[in-house]
Amino acid sequence: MDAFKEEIEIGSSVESLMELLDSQKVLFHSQIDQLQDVVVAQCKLTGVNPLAQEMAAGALSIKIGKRPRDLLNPKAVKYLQAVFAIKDAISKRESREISALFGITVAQVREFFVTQKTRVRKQVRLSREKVVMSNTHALQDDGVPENNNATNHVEPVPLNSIHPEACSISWGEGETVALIPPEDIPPDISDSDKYFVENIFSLLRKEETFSGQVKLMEWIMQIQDASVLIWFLSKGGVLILTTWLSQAASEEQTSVLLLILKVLCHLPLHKASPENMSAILQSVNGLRFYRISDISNRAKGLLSRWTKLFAKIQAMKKQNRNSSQIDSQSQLLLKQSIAEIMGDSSNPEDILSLSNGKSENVRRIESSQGPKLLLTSADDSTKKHMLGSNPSYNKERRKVQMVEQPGQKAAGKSPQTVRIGTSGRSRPMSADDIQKAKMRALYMQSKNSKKDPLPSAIGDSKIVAPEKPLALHSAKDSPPIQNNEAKTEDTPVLSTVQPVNGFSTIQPVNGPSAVQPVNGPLAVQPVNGPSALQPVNGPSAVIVPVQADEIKKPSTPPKSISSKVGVMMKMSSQTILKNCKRKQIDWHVPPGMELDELWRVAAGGNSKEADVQRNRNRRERETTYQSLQTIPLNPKEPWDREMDYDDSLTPEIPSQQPPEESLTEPQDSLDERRIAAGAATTSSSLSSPEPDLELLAALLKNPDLVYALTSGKPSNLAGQDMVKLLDVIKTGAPNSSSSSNKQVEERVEVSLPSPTPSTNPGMSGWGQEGIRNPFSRQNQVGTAVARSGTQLRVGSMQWHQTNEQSIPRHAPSAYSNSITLAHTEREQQQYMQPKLHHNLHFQQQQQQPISTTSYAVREPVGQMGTGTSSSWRSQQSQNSYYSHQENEIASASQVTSYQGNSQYMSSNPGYESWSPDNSPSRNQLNMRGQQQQASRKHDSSTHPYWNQNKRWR
Amino acid sequence: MSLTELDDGLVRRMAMGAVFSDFGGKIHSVGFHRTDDLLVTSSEDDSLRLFDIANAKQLKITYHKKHGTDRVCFTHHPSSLICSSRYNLESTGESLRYLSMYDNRILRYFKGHKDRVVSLCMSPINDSFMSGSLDRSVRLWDLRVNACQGILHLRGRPAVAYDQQGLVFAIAMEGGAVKLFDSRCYDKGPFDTFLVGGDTAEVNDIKFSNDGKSMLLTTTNNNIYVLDAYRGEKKCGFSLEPSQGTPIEATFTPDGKYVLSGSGDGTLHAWNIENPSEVARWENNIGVVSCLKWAPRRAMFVAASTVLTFWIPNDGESPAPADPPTDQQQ
Repeated sequence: MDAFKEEIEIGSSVESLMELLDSQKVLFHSQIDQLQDVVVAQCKLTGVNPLAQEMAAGALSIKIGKRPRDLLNPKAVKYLQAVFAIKDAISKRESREISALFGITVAQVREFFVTQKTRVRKQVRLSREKVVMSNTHALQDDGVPENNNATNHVEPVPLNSIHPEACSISWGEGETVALIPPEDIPPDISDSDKYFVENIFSLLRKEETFSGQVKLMEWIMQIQDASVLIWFLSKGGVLILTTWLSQAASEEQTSVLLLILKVLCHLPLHKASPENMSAILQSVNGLRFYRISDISNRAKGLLSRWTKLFAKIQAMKKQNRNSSQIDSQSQLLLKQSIAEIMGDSSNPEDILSLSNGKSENVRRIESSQGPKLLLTSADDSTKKHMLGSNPSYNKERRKVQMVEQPGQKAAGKSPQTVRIGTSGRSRPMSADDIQKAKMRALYMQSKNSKKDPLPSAIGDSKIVAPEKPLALHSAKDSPPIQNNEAKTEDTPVLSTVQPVNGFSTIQPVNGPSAVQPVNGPLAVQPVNGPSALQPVNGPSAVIVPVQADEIKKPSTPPKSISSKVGVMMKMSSQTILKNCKRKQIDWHVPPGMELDELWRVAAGGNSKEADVQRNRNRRERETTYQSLQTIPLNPKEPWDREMDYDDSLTPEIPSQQPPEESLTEPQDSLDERRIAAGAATTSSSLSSPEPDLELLAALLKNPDLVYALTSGKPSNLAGQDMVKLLDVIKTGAPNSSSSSNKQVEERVEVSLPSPTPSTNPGMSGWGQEGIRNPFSRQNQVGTAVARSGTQLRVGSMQWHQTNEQSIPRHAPSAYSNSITLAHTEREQQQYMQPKLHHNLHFQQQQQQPISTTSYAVREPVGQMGTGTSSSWRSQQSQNSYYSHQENEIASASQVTSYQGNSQYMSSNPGYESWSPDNSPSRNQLNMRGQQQQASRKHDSSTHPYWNQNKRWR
Repeated sequence: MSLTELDDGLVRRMAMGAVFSDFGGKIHSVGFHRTDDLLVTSSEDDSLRLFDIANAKQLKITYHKKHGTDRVCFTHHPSSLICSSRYNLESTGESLRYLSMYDNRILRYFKGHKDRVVSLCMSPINDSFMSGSLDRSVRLWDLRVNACQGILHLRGRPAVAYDQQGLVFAIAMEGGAVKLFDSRCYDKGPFDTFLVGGDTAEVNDIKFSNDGKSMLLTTTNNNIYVLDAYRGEKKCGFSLEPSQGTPIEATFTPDGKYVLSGSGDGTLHAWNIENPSEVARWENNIGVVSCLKWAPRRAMFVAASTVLTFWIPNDGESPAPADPPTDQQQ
């Protein structure tokens, strides 16, 4: 789009212009067609109107054919363009930030910059070619070279791609004529000068080699006639020099650089148009830190010289104010741009503020009926000038300004009054004013010249230092305007400056980090920037409050971004307060909210700390402070400093989910111990058979045995068979004697008094509250546990009932319940281990009713059981929190549980009689149910609540 | 009068009822007491301030220049706090302090974290609490002893939260993984892991809703996700304006039906999460809201940036109700 426009401007011959136009038109139309296709297709596919806004924006600046989400959103495009206007290279970090800011990919940002860059380069090349081609045209036509120049210089000034309209409009207004009076070839010049005039530009434009450039510049140096030099300037010779300068800089042609700087020194640059000046300023500024000190010094010297020069001219201009308002103004702008450039390394915001200000101006122009030549923008530019003048100063200002910002708001609220006020501004200067201005200027100059001799190598802050007073001076120095405004707005000068400042605070959109004009000379393009525009729309002082007001309207995209992010971030507390006060409602006690009881939102029910503190507060006196000043900077230290603990002992919590099997096993064991703990209250301690891992291993090795144990009817199993089976197991399990030894040792350990209550208070508390963890049900392991948990109520109920022999009739129902349990393969695997060792217990328990003679056999088994239980325990203690506390009780209670089971077994006949068909298969199923119950009993420990409840019922 | 749940109208009617602006800088964090009408704030001026949220009064202020104040939360006692430190972490190691506002005394130091604590959560049920630090570890503590009860090493910035029942805690880790631990047997490791697909940004903040059904994740790139707390499915997600370094906060309402959040552009938003839709949007009043919490037992919330604001339902139809949500895409 912008390329399109620019090229129209550039087109110098009718043919090329038409050609360009046509090709662009074709492209444009094809793009529109494509867009339509895409939109229609998307509409059809999704049935939703595809983001029309975004598509439109995309169509204007981005290739179509990407997916909509890949398109840069208009905001991002605007922002990118704004950034691009400042710098054409972007660092990785910046691109990342931008991408984060707008939700686009880093690649998109990079792509944007690359394409923009190539586009600009192409245009520059094109335009340069055209300049060469249409050299004669340019010389004849006043406007054209200006235009060309504006777009022509390569390196220092990337095309400002946001607002190509800006330049076209400004130039279109014809104000340029006033800005730079058409100085044709001066009439009274010598022949050599005439020759120079006639040939220099064609030569300049053609010259590609550095040696040729050197020759040409030497020629320029020979010209002493000021009028010729001015003519040279006005024709844009400076821009060519600037181009050379940047080329030489990049090629490191130091001798050329030096010469160019000399030429620039030689030229009466104060006569140059601000556009040209700003271009060259940037280039020269870029050389300030050139490696070779000679060049950098010279560049600095030049800059300071110009600064001085413009100050002088500025002051001079005051004298013939009436005639040269515009000139003085352009000087101001120039100075401003000097300041900008010199301050730019630390003030990206200001640069942007200019570009934004410009966009604002453009809108003003478009909306206002026509350019008014009120000539009041001097103050505006001074403000900006002040802004950009000195980094450190600027920072200070900004801080101060934060506090003062409400003033801006106030101004923003009454744009009307301000507007009225400004109408009186163009009052002609009184002689008195002029006199004052002159005096002030002289004073300032003397100050400057005193400061100037300072070695310019000290850096820009030194150079800029005179700028600050200058800025102030010039602010005061357009007295009729400034004073008037001060009067009409009834605010001190500072606050009139402030709105612009306020505006600049908006800028941090791109943040100091986002846009760092590392490449100084590339930083600004004030050519078609505000400097070019301000002459046109005079009353920019009026605009400022309007801007402030418009921050709230997100109508202009680049600003809406800035206002959205920047303003809010940096909102001063006063502004905030003001905002708040406006919206604040009267306080009333907010209604309470009842939480659903079922949610069981906790409120420190198990907290000991609250009690401790309550007690402590009863002992201590409350400390109150009478005033803010009496509040100590630090609170009182603790009564006693505690010893540092050994952090190496801090238990490490695994951050990975344990694999399923390993989780099941300890959980079961933990559960078992917990149920045991629960049962311990009713049991007396006895030597206990514990689940036996060795036996388990033996059983696993002999599947036949398992089958024998589980398939046959327990009561039908002959005692002798049983003995045989157990012998088999015993032989399979070696070293029973050693395990019994170990058992003795373990016993000792187990009988140590436990330092904590046998049951974890937290645990039992939880259980009693009956809250079941909703989460455990959801996880994979949890499913199994939870599912068994649901049956467990039945199981445990049944178990306790049989234990107490109270209501044996319930047993069958319990069975049927467990039988209905659907067994998945996974569950069976999970239950494998518990099942197995419960088989074993089962077997042990069988012996009791069946044969008392097998007692001798049982004994070693029991020993084995406890023996291995110790090893098991040690295994558990690695990952178990409570392992040491409950062991004793656990082992003791184990007995009860099995006793209970044996009782249950003895009541088994009742069950058998109840069962109608006593088939082995059916029996096996029942057995399984039994086993399930047994294993479920393990789980039941998570719910001691149930155990206890049922028992006492 | 007390409510059991909120409705769209009430949420939309929320308006600023009180403003406290004398904070000397940004407010780092705010915390409500679970049952009492109390709020504590920590701010850049190293102060801790206690507020009465029923009457919108500042009750107390204390300074902590030596350690600084960062994350802060109430314990179960109404004048005791846990606060994390910003200064002298290396020299003292006193990254967490247990404080009493009653007599302005430090009760205990909890040493262990080598870097700033960025996430702090008190168990709703007992005396344990949890802290996640930039040293890429999460530590579990008990208020009554200074020794660390457990440590968990991660590979990124952690965010921690207990559920409102105190049964489960969640730790957000690198890569958008949220691990759930049983708070009674956390030593076994997480029992479940959720992955927030597609977003690998670091999680700033996790919250559980009161009903335990939902979980709220806020990421560093200002995306908000509401997850099903049981299954980890993403119920809805909201993307907000970036806020460049200032983390935003989102909060559930006590009934778990709405989610409120700040945004990089300074606006506040409210969504209904049962049938995901934006319910209300408040224009920027105080800048980017870095702290936003709804009171646990009141129809009020606090929003803080450099000032602290209390929001209450506007019963009279006087000034500036929330703008009805526009179709404009944020």
